[in-house]
Amino acid sequence: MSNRLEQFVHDHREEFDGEEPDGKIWEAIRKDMGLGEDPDKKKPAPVVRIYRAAWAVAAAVVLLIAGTVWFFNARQTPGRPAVAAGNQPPARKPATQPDTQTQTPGTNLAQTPAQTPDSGRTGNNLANNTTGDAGTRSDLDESQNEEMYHYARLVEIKQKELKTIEKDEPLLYQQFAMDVNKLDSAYHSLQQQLPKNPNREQILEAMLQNLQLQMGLLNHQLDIIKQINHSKKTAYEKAYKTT
Amino acid sequence: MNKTVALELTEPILHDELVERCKKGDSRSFAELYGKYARAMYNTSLRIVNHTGDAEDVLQEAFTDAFRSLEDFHYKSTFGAWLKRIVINKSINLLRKRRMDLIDIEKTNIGHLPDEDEPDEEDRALKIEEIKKAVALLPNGYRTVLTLYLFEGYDQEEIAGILQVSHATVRTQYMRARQKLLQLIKQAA
Repeated sequence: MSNRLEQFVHDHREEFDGEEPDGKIWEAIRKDMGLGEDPDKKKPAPVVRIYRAAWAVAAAVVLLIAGTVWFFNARQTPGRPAVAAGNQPPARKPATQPDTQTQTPGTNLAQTPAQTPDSGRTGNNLANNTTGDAGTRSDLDESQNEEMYHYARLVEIKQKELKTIEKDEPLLYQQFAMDVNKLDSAYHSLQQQLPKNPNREQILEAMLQNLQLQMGLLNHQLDIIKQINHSKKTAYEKAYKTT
Repeated sequence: MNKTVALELTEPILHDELVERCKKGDSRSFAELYGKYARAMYNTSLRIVNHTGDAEDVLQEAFTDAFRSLEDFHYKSTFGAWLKRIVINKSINLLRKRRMDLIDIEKTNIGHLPDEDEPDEEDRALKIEEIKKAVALLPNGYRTVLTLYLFEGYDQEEIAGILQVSHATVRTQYMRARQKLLQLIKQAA
């Protein structure tokens, strides 16, 4: 039996979905579900304002983070060589970073090292890390490397996704890319410091957090793009219907 | 500790972020989800019920039901596949409610059709509009089986499950529906 019909339908599948459902159906669903007014439809102006506000927030977050990373890096480099890793308190940049979930007990301790002799258990941890017990250190490095690789890949994927808007929205893309690049260059400077710096763990931590932030930022940017595309589409559909 | 963070962050990539936002009740995401799937679902239903008003009813009900039972959706399939199944079930139920027979073999006499595909099939190019028109002319049972197989990509086993008939019935009915379709296309030309 020839499969020409099946093949033809398969090859042109999208074109068979040419009928448009009536716009009243969404209205009915919306009412049924008790959803609020469609903001895109009723008042387009506030949508733009929300979008701008979100954009401003994203930019502000990036600047703040890039700034703190640089600030701490600049503070850390001079006059440090002889100091042991454990006595280098504030290397963890994200005093400003809101999500505390990534803080590990070990690094918390690193911020107040000598003053807490009572915390024996964690003190041991610290000793392990700083005296360079070969086993734990390489384990730690490995798991962190793994994580880093994981995030780096996610960031890469998202960046690719973002790149698809370059053609449609060149200006927006440029702005977005600029922000990501700021974080990215901070990441690279951390990476350069890594081999020379005795405070390896903290730098790795900072790099990891940097990647997480990049992810967050990219997610945010992609959300914004989705919103823009959506409002564009509804605007187009509206225009199409009225003509 | 960092490991768990990493896991949490990977989830949205495996999961559908839009669906997740809907689960949290974000009304804008509902609109987005509707916009993404409405057209495909409408066409799917329309091919089965063969009536724009009915297809619109199915579309509305299917989306409302899906949105209300989002909690029961656990990514065993994609959201699209899950929603499509709802649309198809509703479409078939609607045909049943209208007392339309879903099995046409015994009733329709197309015994004169050759067993093999007509050689003519190769002669001329198939056209989308012609196929669509011919599908709409098929009797309900043929149209349902043919649509599920040809357009919605279910295999015959799955269709047997959906229609609650035997696999053999689906197979013969599809073959006959297909022949009838090609015949209708030829007649129209």
